[in-house]
Amino acid sequence: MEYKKSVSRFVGRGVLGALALAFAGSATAAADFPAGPITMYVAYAAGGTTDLTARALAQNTEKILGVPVVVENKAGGGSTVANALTASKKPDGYTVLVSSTSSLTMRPLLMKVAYKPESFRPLMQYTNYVGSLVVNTDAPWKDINEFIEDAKKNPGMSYSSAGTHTQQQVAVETLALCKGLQFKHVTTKGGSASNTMLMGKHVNFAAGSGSHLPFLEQGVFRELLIFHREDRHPKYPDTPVMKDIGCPPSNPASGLIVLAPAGVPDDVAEKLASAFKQAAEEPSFQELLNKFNMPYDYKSGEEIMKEIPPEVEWYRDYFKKAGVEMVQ
Amino acid sequence: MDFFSSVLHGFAVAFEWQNLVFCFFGVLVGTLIGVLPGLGPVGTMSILLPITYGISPVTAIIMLAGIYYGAQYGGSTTSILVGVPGEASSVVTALDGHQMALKGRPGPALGIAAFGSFIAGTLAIVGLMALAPPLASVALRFGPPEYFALMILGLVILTYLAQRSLGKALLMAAVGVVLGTVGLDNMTGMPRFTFGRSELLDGIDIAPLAMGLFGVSEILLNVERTIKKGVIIDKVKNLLPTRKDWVQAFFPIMRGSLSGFFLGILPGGGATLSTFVSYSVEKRISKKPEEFGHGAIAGVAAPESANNAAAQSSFIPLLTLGVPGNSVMAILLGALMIHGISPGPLMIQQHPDLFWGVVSSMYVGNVMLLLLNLPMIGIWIRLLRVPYGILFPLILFVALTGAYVINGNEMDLYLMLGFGVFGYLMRKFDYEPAPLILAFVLSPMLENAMRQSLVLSSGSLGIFVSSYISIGFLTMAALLLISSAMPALKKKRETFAATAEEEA
Amino acid sequence: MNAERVGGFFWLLVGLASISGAISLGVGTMSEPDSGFMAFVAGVLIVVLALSICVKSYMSGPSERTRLSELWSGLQWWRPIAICLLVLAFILVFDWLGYFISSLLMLTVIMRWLEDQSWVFSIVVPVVVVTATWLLFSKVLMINLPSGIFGL
Repeated sequence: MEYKKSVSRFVGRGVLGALALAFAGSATAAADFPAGPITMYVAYAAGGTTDLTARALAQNTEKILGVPVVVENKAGGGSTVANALTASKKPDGYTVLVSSTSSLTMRPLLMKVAYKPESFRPLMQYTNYVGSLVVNTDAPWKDINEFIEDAKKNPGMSYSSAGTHTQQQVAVETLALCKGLQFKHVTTKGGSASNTMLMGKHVNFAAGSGSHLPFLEQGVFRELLIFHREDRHPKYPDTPVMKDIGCPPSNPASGLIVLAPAGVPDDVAEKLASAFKQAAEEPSFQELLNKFNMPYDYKSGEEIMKEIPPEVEWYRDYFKKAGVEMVQ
Repeated sequence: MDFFSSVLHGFAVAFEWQNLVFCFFGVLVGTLIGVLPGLGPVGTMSILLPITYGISPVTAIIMLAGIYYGAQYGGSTTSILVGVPGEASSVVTALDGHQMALKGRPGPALGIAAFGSFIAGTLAIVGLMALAPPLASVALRFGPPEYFALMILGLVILTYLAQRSLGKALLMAAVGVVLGTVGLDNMTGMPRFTFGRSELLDGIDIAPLAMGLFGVSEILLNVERTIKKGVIIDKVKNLLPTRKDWVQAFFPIMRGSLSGFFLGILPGGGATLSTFVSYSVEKRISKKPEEFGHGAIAGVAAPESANNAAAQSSFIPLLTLGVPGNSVMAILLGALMIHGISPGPLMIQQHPDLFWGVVSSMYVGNVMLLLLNLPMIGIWIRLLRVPYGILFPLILFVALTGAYVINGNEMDLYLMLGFGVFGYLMRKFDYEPAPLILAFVLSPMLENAMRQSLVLSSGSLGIFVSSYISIGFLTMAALLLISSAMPALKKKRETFAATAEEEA
Repeated sequence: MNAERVGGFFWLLVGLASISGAISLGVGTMSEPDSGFMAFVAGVLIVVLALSICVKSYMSGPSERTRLSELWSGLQWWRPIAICLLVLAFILVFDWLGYFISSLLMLTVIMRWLEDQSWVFSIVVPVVVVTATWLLFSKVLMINLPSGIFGL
């Protein structure tokens, strides 16, 4: 396109543009949705594994819906920035968000955020975080029971995690609560730093959330216990879960979910949800998840909505028990 | 495979035609991105990541790596020419580099930066090839207490940065510390000093801070007088470094490479720290320390060498252990995983092509960058001849664009403007911005290390002197402090003695 | 007004604000530092140094003193202010009007009004530069720049 400098041309285009926008917002658009590009906000840093899965999903969905799905990274504040931004957008189906369930259920309890779980309409979930208790391969404990024995005798064992109140850190603390153990928690910035700290033997164990998995394959780390699962992981049948050691399940697994602002018309939401589901089921996407050691865990929008209130309650209860101050 | 045959094999891989092409593409894009202040290699690499899906992992990493160290070369260009550091690692170069440009010597500054980066990069690559695995295991020994001691050493070195009043420099550092706490407290998960703004939850980004404090403030200062001519005040002499420049720059390049190489290995911010350390070391041992801050070529040679050496050595933790030391490495990690390569200690054995090929192509990339950057010097100088009245709005525009595309966040623009005004007033009142930036970068790491250590030791302070490494750094810090106080004490004794004599 | 003293007083306020913010976050102790520990220590340091600057300003001889007004004597102080306001205006509108148009406006205004370039120059140069940059970012690098109500 050539941009002529005459003002009248700009004004003319501007008026047309404004009129077009006005029409796009009206209800008649639902029938021929989507009529234009969709923006997908991703609550994670560009280039990270989570972002890459979101982008892959966007690419596949583009082909299905026939319009561009443009990814914009809005990382920060544990997903709160992207969440707040999306919640403020028009519920016309042209804005979606890839974020985590815990940012909806847990975060608002801890700090003032500009959204509530009710500000969104979940469309689908495609994977979740499975945390585990990770130790070095040459650690003295052969299995989780030996570990718990030792922890009881020597309170104050240290562990590293990617941050306070992350999935996996909460899980470790639920273990501690269940067995009456005392741990020292060393926070690091991010999963890699947590792995490095364990590798350097500066802590006894780590709360792993996925970035440690390649090290299992390389024989550097071992998993003693897997959280967030009802039954054993098909890939690691020898590693026990909370049930196996007589503990109630750890925190509900946080999933990577696709959301739209609340109030999206039902048929638009249907279209989006089925498109994303199709996109996620494509073999190329499944393969990508596999490469990043992420399990494919599909949940529909309705299922997610049902699970949110009990999850909020779970965290409320947990924080009360752990003595953490809540804002709501 | 023994060492030499591995190296030769690596070069064979590096010279495969598609690797050469992608390497060139990477370093070209990297230089361009580096020149544009704000947008850094991280953002670019993630955008170009999909291009790598269809090519072999070796080629992919070669390209991405090229973007990274190419950006280091490019970042120095803007730092020197217009005094706008686009990243934390270019901040120190701006101190003396820009002064050299203003004094009519942008060519030598750019030239020494390019050559220094090349030499440092080459030395670092050799170091990488020979020492990677043992160094990696040393890096693992760095736990929280060791990092703490290192950061203390860094802060002490900060005192050498001060050009004028030490008190004011310390005050700036303290302000930098406070600014560094803005954001989510990693340990409690609670926001600090964010005033309810969610965009501040991740803290203040270094790029808008540095661009505002150094770049925008300088524009505001310059605009007060009508400068009809170009940026350069004096006549331009020499397009390339003179023999005298080389003599003065040689050892700083060597020393800078050393500090950059070793500090770059440490995960988490080693590169920036090394630029400050190398600069301060040069200033300390120089016979003419008063030149620093006014265009001393050693003040450009050392940090430039340091940041390039660090760029190369930061690959070590990733390639030998599978742990990424910074966000650039994290993207490379993702790229490796997409290609089905599992990072970890066995990676070199399982994929020798990858390791040796990438390392050898780093050398090739450095050569390409040298050949790219040197001829550009003439063009850059011509650009500087543009009258300042036309140039500065364009610089502002590029800076605003660059700052915005980092996060897509308007807040960064407000911050850049705000820090620009802040920096402008600061310089008017005779305060220096450099100590603020150093403290801003160091204090989060210091705080993290301190709190992590104290958790591990359950509050006992003894943990900080429990290992040789930490004792070593702390002792060095103490010695440096004493030695810098001694001249002051000596002077006091002399004046005291003089007055005593007078009264006698 | 003595410039040093004004500066010192400003930093004093900054230091006190840091201390108060730190205390509300919780300071903790040396062996169990809390969220506000670093900010507290830094704040105290700022206050101490600011006070010493103020004190020094009283002790310095008349030749060393700089008056506040001297810092701007002979300089066109309104120009930095104008630039700041223009940049601020840019940031405020660029999401609404779009990156392309806002940049054009900002650059044209600066060049024409502040720098006295000709109209032709003030429009042509910004158009060339902004278009080139816009193309680079949105087409080559595929980074999103706000389109604003005119869709650019």
